[in-house]
Amino acid sequence: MNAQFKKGALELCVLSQLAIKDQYGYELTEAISKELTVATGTLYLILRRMKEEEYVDTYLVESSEGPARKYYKLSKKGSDYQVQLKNEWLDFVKKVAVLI
Amino acid sequence: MNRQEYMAALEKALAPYDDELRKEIMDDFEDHFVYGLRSGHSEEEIITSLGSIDEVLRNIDEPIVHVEKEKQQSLVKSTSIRNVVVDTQGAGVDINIIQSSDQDVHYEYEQSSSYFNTRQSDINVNRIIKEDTLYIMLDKGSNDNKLINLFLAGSLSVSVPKGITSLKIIGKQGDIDIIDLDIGHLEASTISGDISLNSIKTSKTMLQTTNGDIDIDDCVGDITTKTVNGDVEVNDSKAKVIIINSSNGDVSLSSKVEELAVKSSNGDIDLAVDDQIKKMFIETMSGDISLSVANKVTFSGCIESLRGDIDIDVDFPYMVKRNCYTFTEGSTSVDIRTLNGDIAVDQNGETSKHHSNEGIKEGLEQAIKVLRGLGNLEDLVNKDELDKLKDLMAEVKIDIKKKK
Repeated sequence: MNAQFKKGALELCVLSQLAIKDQYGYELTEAISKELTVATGTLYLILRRMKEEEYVDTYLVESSEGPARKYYKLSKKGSDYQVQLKNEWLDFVKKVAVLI
Repeated sequence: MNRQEYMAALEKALAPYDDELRKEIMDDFEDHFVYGLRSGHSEEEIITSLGSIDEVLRNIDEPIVHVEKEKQQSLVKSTSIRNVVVDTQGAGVDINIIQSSDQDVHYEYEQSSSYFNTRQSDINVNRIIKEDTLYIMLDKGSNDNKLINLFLAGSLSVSVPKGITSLKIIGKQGDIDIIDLDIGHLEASTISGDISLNSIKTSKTMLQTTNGDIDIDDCVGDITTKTVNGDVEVNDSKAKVIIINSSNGDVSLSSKVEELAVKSSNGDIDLAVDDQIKKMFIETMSGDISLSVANKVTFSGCIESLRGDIDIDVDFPYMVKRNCYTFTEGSTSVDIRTLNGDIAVDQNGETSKHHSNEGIKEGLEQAIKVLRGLGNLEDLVNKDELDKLKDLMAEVKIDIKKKK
């Protein structure tokens, strides 16, 4: 798959997963890598970029087992962006479906 | 690769980036390992799922912040280091060597800002200590960017403490600049780069470059140089022995030296030595030789050109037979010969060779004027210069005779 295309799709997946519920890094990577072949390492970089762009916030939750979990939460800005991206995506997929 | 190795490689790869980014990614990946292992995955499985370090790097959009951090880390704090070897054959870089301000060896690698080199991790700086020898070596790392082979990747600066036994530098494409050292033995070689030495004190220095020039200024200690196409220049230096070997380059020397050997196939040789000179061996195939010696110097030996002209202006006796000048009573042993080139020797006792050459040339022009009847000798020069000019005139007459 085209790298740029895949990157965009992954961004939408991450945002959409977080739209369902707040998740910590490992949980999120598991959810996505279950469906898609992806280097999970790159997901952390996507998450970091989204944080920089204020699409997501993070908060720590102490865990009885293992290190404190860093949870990602969609911001208002991120939520709007997710809706916009999702619509663009669905529209795109529809058009492609006509063509292929 | 296990978890520890993966994380170490990741940390190294992230080194050029912002501290905060590196820390966050490292933490995220550490946590990922913890949760992954807890879920029953092996370290190998987790590494495979995370992806290669290169893949991670490709997804970083943030700029490289400079290598300051690495500069500070690159310090070898040990008084037991006696020898330093700098080997950059793995990557074409410039090398700068200076004296360390303390007892430690410091080094820093700076990536060139060339368009083609965007990632600092392209070059690894390795350091190995074996007994009393420190090796600083560059290699290209895992990246197979072929362009690195074509362009200089950056520069490596090393500061070396005073008094170490030896320093050996092996370069490839870049220049080697060495300033202000006081060490035992210095050896530097490169293929395409220039080598330049300034204010160096050694017992012995050996320099070699194929296509670059060698420039030595204000150095003390014996010197041996070898070049194929480069020029060699030695100025204001002091040595017991200087040996210069060049195939096509020119050689220019103005220094205090006791024994001097210069050999060149096609280059010109231009020398100025003072009264410390005891022995000279100078040989070229096609180049010209110009030699200026101090007042007190006298020769013993011969100066010979098979097909070229010889112009000798000295104050001690010699015998001339065809194009061979023989000296028997002097203190400085000479053996100067060329196949096709001209030889000029003058004795004036002045340290500045260029200045004295100009003086002689001017004197000659004056003398020629007088000989042609264009002027009166007494009007042209003061009394002090008269004897000198008369000598010159005598020589001009000889030259004219010879040409006839």
